[in-house]
Amino acid sequence: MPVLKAPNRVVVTATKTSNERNESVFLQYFASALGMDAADADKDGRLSVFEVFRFARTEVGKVYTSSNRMQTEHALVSDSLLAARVAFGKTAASANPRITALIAERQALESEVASLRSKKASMNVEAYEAELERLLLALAEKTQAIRAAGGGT
Amino acid sequence: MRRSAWVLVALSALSPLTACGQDRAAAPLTARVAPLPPRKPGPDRWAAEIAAAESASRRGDRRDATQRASRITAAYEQGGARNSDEYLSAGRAYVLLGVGNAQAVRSALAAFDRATAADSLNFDAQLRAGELFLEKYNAPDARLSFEGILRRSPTDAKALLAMARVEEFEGAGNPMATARLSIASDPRYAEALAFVAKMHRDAEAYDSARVYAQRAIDADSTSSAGWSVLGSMAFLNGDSATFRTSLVAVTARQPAPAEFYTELAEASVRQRRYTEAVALAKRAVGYDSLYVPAYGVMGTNQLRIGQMDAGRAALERAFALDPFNLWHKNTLDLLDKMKTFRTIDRGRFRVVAPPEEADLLALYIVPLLEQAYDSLAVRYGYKPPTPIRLEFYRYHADFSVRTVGLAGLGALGVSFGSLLAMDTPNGREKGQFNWGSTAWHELTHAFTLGASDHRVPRWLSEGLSVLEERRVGRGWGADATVSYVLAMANGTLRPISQLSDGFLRPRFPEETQFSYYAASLFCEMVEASRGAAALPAMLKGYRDGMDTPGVFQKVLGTTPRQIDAEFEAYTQRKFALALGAVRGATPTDSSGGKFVATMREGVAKMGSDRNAARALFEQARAMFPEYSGEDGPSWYLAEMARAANDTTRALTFVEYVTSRNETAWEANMMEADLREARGDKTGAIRALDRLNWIWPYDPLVHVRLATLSAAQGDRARAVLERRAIIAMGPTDLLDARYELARALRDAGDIAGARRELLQVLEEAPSFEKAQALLLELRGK
Repeated sequence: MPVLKAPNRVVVTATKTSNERNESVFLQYFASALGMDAADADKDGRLSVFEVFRFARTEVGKVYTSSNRMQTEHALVSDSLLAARVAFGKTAASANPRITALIAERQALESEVASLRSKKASMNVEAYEAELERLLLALAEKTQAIRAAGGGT
Repeated sequence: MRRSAWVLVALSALSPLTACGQDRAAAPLTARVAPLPPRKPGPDRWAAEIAAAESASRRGDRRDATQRASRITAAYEQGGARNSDEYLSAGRAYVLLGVGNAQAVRSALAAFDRATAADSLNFDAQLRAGELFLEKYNAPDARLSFEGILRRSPTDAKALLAMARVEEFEGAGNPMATARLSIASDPRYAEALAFVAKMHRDAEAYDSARVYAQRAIDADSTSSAGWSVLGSMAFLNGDSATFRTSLVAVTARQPAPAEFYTELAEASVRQRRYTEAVALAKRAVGYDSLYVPAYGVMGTNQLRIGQMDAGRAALERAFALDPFNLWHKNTLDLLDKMKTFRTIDRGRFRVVAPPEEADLLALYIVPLLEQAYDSLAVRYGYKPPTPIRLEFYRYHADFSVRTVGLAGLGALGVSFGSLLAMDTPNGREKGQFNWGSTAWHELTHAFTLGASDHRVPRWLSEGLSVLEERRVGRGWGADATVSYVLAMANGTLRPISQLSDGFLRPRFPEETQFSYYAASLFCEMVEASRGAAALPAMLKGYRDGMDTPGVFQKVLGTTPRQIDAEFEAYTQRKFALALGAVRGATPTDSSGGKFVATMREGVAKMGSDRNAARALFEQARAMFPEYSGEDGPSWYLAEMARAANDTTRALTFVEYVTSRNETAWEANMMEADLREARGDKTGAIRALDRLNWIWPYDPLVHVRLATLSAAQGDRARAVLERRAIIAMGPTDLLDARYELARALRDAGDIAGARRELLQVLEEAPSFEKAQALLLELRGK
């Protein structure tokens, strides 16, 4: 990993050191995740490298647990923040300015949700839930509007 | 917490047999040897003092015993011993100092070994070394010590009794027979007579136990062991006069009768009277606060009645005093592990399980046991105290430790009354057991034990539990196997009047399992011939203090011998066809007769001539109609019919298996598939439900159950199945929670659906399906 690591590069390895020499199953789960909705952890319609990595790592853990075996492979990712930004497949961009504007508005709402979540611990539960629901409903309506305008997600 | 148990091992350089110059694998015990000349003890400066110390210890005067023993060991450590008998006295003194002092125990062993090295004819030293090994749970080295004596003196009554104790400890050999050899050698050996009495008592053969206990007392009126057995039986049977006489006799020698009360406690445990056992053990501890066995019995049984903190404290104390006790160490280690378990209180039940399984198991087991509780309460007219605690163990070894303190128990579950414990379904391979029927079985014990005031004998309690499993339907409860019918044919099954021994002293590995089944058939027979009230009436008879012959006479109007004959005739009629089919050419032929031969031929022909194979399987089915194994004719016929797309016949045959075999995973899956394909959603749900009780970890089964239930309008079941999927920790948790929200909406629980959706969308705000559902719920 230290050898391959570089700026703007995401490195994913099936094992954490060269001492983990047994045949690994990580790759098979990593590859299968590319075609699975289940791997899309945040359900935004895009699969980031980090989502695929996390999905595969979880499945590998389950394989060893369910077969009562000691886990002999521990996958690593070099830069989880970058890996979360790099996605497989298309993005929600559109040539239609109306749709582009709606997407921008939705992204703003998503940011508001993220911001609200960061304040959760300091807020009253009812107030938090009410604000969360308000934002989520607005977000849902925005998604509907994008669909109605012919845009994807 | 790290906790290590001490192990008392033989010191090879000083071990008795090496000292005697004998090979441990030498001649068998029965070898003829010339009689040994009587041994003359050497002068022993400590003879009187050690006798007085032991006498003080027996009286319960630990202080005096300790002071005297300490004087001996101090002298020994300063000046050594002059001969074998002085070594022996020093060893005996160390034994008295060994409570909570592992080093003293080791010193005792070393002294005994030196006594033997100094005089190989000092059998008392070898005997005490062996007894010390056994007291510290090292049966193999104890056995070697006793074998050493018996090789030189094969009829030594003490060594024979000691060997019987080793056999009892190891659960091997025939301790009763070995103890009888001891009695044959010395017919007035009270310890051996009391040992046999105790074994009879524990096997619930009370008449024989009483005879042997009385013989022990006749031989030695001060025999605490004899009085203890007599007193314990009197206590258990409510015979207060005999109990008082026994107590007076014991206290005459032992004013603080801790040992006596511990014996009562242990006898109570044998009758599954755990609460009384705790109370008795507490009295024992009150008499002697250093008496380890009392703490052990108290702690172990507090844990069995759900007093977890008090039980742990008692076992901690026991282990501090006796760090050799592996049972206590194992149990304490398990209690540490259980700190991570989750406890779910719901209704009349408390489910305690590994955190990753607790939610899933509780979802199903609590409603099932609530249903069981209601139906059993009506049938037996008794309600066990609640909450009933049900513990699940992911690893069978943990369940085994919880039950008996050691790994290796073969049972699937255990009932201590209001505390049940069992393997999680994940603790075994899929298809090896049915966790629903197991829980139902164990809960039934809580009712039958309670209704009889814990006096029902084990065989009847097990028979009732299997019968109750069968009443549930779903194919639960044991059914006839080839080996059972073969055992009937070969006459190797015990009659009903001796069925207790089938549980307590099985003669061959399958006998315990056969005994469960036989006991359930007895219950069926009684219900069929005497009506539904007869079985609860039997429990009432036991509760009122009657023994089995008395209960048979009062409730069934018959003697044990007559009931044996009636049961024999009943089972001969019931399995008439099967008996003819599996009976071999000779009485000892266990090949499985025509039935097995026909099955083998059918299987062999499946590849080459399917019509012939089918005909053979149909013949086999007619021979043994009760057989429902997944290696049986109905299953093969079902598979062949399905392969031929004859789903009607396939269903007929497979249903024969699924309605009788509680662990038939493949057969139930086939039935579910066939019924769903034919649009029989209700039937498919029933089959999937049976699968869930075999192994609840298949997410597809839950998805199918959820979908089919929703389609059938069973919204509550759909919600349950969606919750089950979530409890299993699915890969796509958010999607599973979205599906739960949908199911909740369909069930009319809009607030629940909204709550679920908000949590989902909080994690994944862009989740489009969930957004749409939220809008729908808000009417937008």
